[in-house]
Amino acid sequence: MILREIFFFLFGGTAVLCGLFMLTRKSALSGAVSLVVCFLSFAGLYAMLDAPFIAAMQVLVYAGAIMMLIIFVIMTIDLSAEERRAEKPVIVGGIIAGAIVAAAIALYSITVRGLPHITGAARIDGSVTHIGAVMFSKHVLNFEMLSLLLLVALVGAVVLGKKKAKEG
Amino acid sequence: METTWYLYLAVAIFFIGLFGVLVRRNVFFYLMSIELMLNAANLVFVACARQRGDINGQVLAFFVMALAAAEACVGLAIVILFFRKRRSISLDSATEMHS
Repeated sequence: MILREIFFFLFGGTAVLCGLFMLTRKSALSGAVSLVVCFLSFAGLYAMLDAPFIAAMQVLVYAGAIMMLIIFVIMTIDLSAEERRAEKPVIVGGIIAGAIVAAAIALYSITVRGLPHITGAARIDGSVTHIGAVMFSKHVLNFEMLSLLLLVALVGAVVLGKKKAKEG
Repeated sequence: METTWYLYLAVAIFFIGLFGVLVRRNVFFYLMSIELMLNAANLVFVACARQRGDINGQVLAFFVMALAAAEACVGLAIVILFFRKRRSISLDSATEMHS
């Protein structure tokens, strides 16, 4: 039982620290790399939550596909001119975000009397077989719509990224 | 391990993403913070799926991942277009809508 807690704090702590590290980086590339580590520790959390398929998808889709796409674009864009200009943080945005966080914590401490004691007792079968059976029976329309959405996003990205003929 | 701890962790990650969206001007950090917030929502889905013994939460988390992939794809195309037009990746230079 204690092992689960050790791994929870290991993965959770890594996720929070890498998120904060990403937030404070100046260079987008090091931020992206620390976010990859953050997403990998999320995969560990999903594996602890009886969701091995979601954990594998986290590694493949998030840490693999999405972050690599972002890193490719960061490397494609010539940042040398941009980075000489120091980025100033948005003070007003920071104040608004701090106010939202403070309001959420205040609301939580006012409305919730004591901690809600939820124990993760129920175990579920998060295997590919089970998820696939649910996905292709109950959620089959959602799945098809999602594939259509991915196709539209793909075509849209190609159209947006294409250079005009006269630009060369 | 209690589900409550996972929810607290998800809230913390979500707030980090919120700060990233509201404080940074670099458009890459903006996109990455949105990914972080989507991940926090996914963590809530998966934790509550385990809590309730309901597989639908995991299916929904998978759908959110695919949506995030579509969002990143179009978002990065817009970033490339924006950089080509403005030679900048700062959100401050997106001022077309100002009259």
